Amino acid sequence: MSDPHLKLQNTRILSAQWIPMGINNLIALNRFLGSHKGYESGTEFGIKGNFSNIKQGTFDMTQKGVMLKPGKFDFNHFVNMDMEDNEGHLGVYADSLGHVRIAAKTDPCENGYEQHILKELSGKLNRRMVQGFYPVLSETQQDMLHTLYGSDNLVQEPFRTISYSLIIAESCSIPIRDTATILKAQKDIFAPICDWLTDHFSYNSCHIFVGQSACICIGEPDESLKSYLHHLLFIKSLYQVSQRLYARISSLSKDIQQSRNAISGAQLKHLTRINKKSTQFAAYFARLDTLDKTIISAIEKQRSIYDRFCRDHAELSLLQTDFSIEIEKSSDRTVIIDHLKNELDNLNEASAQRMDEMMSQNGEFMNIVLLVMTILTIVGFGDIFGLSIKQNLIIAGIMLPFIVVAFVYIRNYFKNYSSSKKSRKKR
Amino acid sequence: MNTVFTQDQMLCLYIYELYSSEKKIRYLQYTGMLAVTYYLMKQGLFDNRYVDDILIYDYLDARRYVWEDKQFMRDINILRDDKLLIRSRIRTLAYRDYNAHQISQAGSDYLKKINFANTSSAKQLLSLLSCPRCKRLYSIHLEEDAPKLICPRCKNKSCIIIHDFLKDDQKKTKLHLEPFYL
Repeated sequence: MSDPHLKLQNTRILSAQWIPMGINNLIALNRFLGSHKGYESGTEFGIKGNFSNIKQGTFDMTQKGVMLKPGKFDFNHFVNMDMEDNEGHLGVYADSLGHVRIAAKTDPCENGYEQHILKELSGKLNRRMVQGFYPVLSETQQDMLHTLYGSDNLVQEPFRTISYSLIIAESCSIPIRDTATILKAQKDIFAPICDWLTDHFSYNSCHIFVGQSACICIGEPDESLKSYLHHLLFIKSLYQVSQRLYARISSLSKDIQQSRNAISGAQLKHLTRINKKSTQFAAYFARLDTLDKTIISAIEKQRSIYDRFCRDHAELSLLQTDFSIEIEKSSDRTVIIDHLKNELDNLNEASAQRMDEMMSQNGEFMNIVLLVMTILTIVGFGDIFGLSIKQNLIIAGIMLPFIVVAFVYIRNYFKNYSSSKKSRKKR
Repeated sequence: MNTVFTQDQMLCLYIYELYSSEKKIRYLQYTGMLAVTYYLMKQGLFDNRYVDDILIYDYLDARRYVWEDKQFMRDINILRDDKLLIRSRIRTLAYRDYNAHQISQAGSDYLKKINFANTSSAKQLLSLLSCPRCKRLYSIHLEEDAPKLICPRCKNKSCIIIHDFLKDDQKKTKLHLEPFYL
């Protein structure tokens, strides 16, 4: 059982997400931010509203954005920026492999904070990152994130996104000799923040507890440990995204199956709805496919950086398995996405077939109606013009092939369409 | 505030006071500000402290040769660094991102504090940017051929075309040139 009064002193809180980036988007981000201009003051980004008439010198918007001031950067690889919103200043880091994190430090003079406060704070940091940073991403990135999280407006619904937190604390109110000893005495000591632990170790007077939702580092990490923590944040936040991606693929697969089942017996109105959904599915799959490829590329590049790091820091090579598993998961997902694309093709074919069937049925019905109307009209003329019996018989003789054809059409119509309706019902 | 601002910086800030507002979330495109300042410069408001210089910058959906003086650019940055102006970058549906500024609430308060609107230079600026018929403030329009100041009430009956803001890149070169191959 965890001590609810346990406090962590002089804390730094980092909330990391994986966002589809790539070198092009990172360069575009640096250009957009004006990283190379070296402005001393920040610039406002993410202002809400519609600036559509570019010929107007003055224009009104609906809501203010946040101030971003780039700091240390490499145009092709990463950027640090100071973000100021209406709650204060935070630090944001983004790199070309999609590792994005927001960070803040608490007042070192304070006595420390309980775990539930720090957990709440990391959630708030994530919210502020989505609301402040997402609007500066490109439309393609935002589309992929909307598809991943199943929401068209993540800025209004930041809770739909997923992140991984790291809390670095100079010290803890409970003395820790090493991680194994403390966990033996109190198994769930950091469960309020980390959830269940997947790993723990002590390194150079720092104690690291790696959990499912977050990681805690007690002590001041040196440069090697900071590098390790950087890789940890990357792979753990990517793990969250890959889980979410898989869940999204599964839910889309169920949607496709439901649509497939709804096709037989569907009328035009329902078929139109199914076709619309099918077009949406195609767009989602295209984005998820791109997202998956971006993930694979990012993991592979980060892994090679991590491998180089591990050559000099074998004791910190604990994430090798995590990288391998993510790569394996990516390959598996690719197969599933390909399979679902085939399912989507089948759905489209079935929909087209049903449409053809309906059109043919309607066409044949029209033919029958026209034939019957023609026969009745001619019979009617005979009546109106008061033809003799002989003349009526001649007309009847001329009409005979028409009447035969009409009977054949009606018989075929009921044979084709009422029997197929029965067999659809059976299915 | 420790910075001592120049007359030109205050005039620039006053232009932003007339055309933008932090409270109303109103912004002035940087290109619009360049056009207005160029017009006022040509009217002699800045006493030749800003000069005719050239910049390749966004104008509507293209990169054009427009006016920008480096001292003017420095003046704007000084106002920003003292938090009297807020710089913003805004995405549009059509083309690329636009630079715009707005006067901050601190900037508005500062102008009120020094009663800048009642100075002779401020009054001169306001009269140059107001319609002579109805005294309304001109609105800034960036048209394909040239930027214009148009009275929102009198419309085309009171319109100023800001000539030469867009530098004519169709003019023939006067220099003698010869072919060169690397």
